[in-house]
Amino acid sequence: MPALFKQKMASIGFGLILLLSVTAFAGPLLSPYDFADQNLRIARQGPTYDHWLGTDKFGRDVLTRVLYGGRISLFVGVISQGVALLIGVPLGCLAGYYRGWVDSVVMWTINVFWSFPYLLLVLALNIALTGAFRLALLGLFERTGLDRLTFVLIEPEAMADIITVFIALGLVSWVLVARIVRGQILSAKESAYVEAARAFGFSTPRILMRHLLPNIVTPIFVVVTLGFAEAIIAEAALSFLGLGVQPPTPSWGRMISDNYGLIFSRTGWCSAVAPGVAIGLAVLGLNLLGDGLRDFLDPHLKDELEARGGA
Amino acid sequence: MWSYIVNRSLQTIPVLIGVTLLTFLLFHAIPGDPARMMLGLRANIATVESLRQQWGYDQPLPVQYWRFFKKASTGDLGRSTYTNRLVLGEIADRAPATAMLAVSSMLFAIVVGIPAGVLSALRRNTWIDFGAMIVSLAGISIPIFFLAILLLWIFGYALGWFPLTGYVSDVGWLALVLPSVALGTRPLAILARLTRSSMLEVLRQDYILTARAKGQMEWLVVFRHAFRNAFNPVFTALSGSLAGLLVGSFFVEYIFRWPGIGFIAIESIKQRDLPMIQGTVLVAAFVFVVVNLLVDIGYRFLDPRVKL
Repeated sequence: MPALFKQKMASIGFGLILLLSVTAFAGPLLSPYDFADQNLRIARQGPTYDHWLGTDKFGRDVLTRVLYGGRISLFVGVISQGVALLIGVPLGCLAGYYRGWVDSVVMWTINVFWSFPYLLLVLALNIALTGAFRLALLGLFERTGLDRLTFVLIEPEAMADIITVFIALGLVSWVLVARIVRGQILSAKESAYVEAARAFGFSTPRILMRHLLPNIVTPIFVVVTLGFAEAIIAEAALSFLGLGVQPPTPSWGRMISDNYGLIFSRTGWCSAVAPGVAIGLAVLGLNLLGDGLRDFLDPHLKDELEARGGA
Repeated sequence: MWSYIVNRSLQTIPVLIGVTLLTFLLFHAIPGDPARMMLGLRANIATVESLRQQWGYDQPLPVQYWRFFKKASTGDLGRSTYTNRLVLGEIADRAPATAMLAVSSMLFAIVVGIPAGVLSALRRNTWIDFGAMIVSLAGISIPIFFLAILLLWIFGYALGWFPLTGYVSDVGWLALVLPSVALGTRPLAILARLTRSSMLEVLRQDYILTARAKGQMEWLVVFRHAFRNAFNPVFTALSGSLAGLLVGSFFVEYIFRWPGIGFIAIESIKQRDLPMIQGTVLVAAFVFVVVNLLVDIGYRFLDPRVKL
């Protein structure tokens, strides 16, 4: 396919993400409703003038909840990929640059993590962290007074849930980042510019930070974009199962699982279908952006990424 | 060849040990107190304490791990705290249903996905190509549980073509259709995209030009010369899709009430049945490692040029 078309795909993807971010942050402010406002007299409505996407079984405005849920999804995606970068980039650099036993240990860890299906590991990790870790977080909020601060944005419990999800996703997503970084460093460190930097007597950290990393930013960016998409699906899957962000905070996956009984009613189906479409659009946007960038900037990356299937 | 098989098999041993270690950490070390976690915050201290002793949670972690490893390596994954049945027995009972679903959805993915990819490559930049690629992009982007619900809603409820839920033995073979489509769509999309790009790569080669120049019939060029060479990367991708299939089946089985491993996995998550969750996680990872091993060996057979 011509590069131009790919670029067009990438810009469509970028446009989708931009649109989603803007509506997710501005939408709930513009909406006359609150995401938690219940009104049982207007429950289970189809789309009307007052409620563009209808109402759910508690009479809450579906559009407001979908938009607010977008905040959660974007938030989860950004932070979890941040965590993945924080772990994956240094480990990938170390393994690729030093080889030897460091490489063996990192590769072993990567292979072990790689042996679990992505979503299954996220699920297990989230279950594991929901116990002591979540309680410790809540305790920390209370002691530091952070609970009053987070309360402005979101309830402390919901905050603890979200942080647990971040950590679970990040602790799994770093594997893909580390693999790509290691591979890229392995091939880049043989190039002339690295040899030149070494000949100048630059220190290893300087060579890594100033010379190698800037040259592999593109593949890292592509991996993170695709990882973002997987994180959104994984978060939705977690909340679909009742893990992750707890009600009344709206999350797309939770909205689907709460409302999917309503698809059998004539008017209420919107409340289950709308969040699903929202997830699909967000993930489609990220996939288009990631694919387009990858094919346009770095065609060789394809084989390494293509073989991995999520849920 | 034999030395390769032996070597490659030996390589899986440290990975499998790592798999048991990570599973152990997930269910014994990170939660802080598995007994408390299983019983909830409101359970009284004496109950928690007795469970802790009964399950050996009061021992130091390395001791616990060693016991866990010894038991797991003999297939003893403990008992479900919900049904009190042996975890491995429960999983083995449910395996045929999951295997049936996995095989039929993989067949669906292969039978539709590979021809679609070949056709897109041959009819490049036509509406067939764009259509197939847009459908496969959608297939990759839609979460599997939402797709399952949509299929259930449209084809099960609104059109009434297929039974809503249930297993083959109760409602007949039609019950297999919707779950297989739901589970097979993502691998289908991945296969179609990969087949397309791999075919495009191969169709550019000189030997295709030669084959055409000597007047070979087009379908022979496509199948004998192009597809056989384009198939290898597609074959590797099949193993990657299998990982997705394993977890995807959790959601599909749950939504369609399909009595497989995924169904009990979700039930055990809802019931906080730790030994059962741990068992499914361990078995899934084990199956995945073994399948990857088989795929790697199969790949060697398919393409003897590969030196790993």
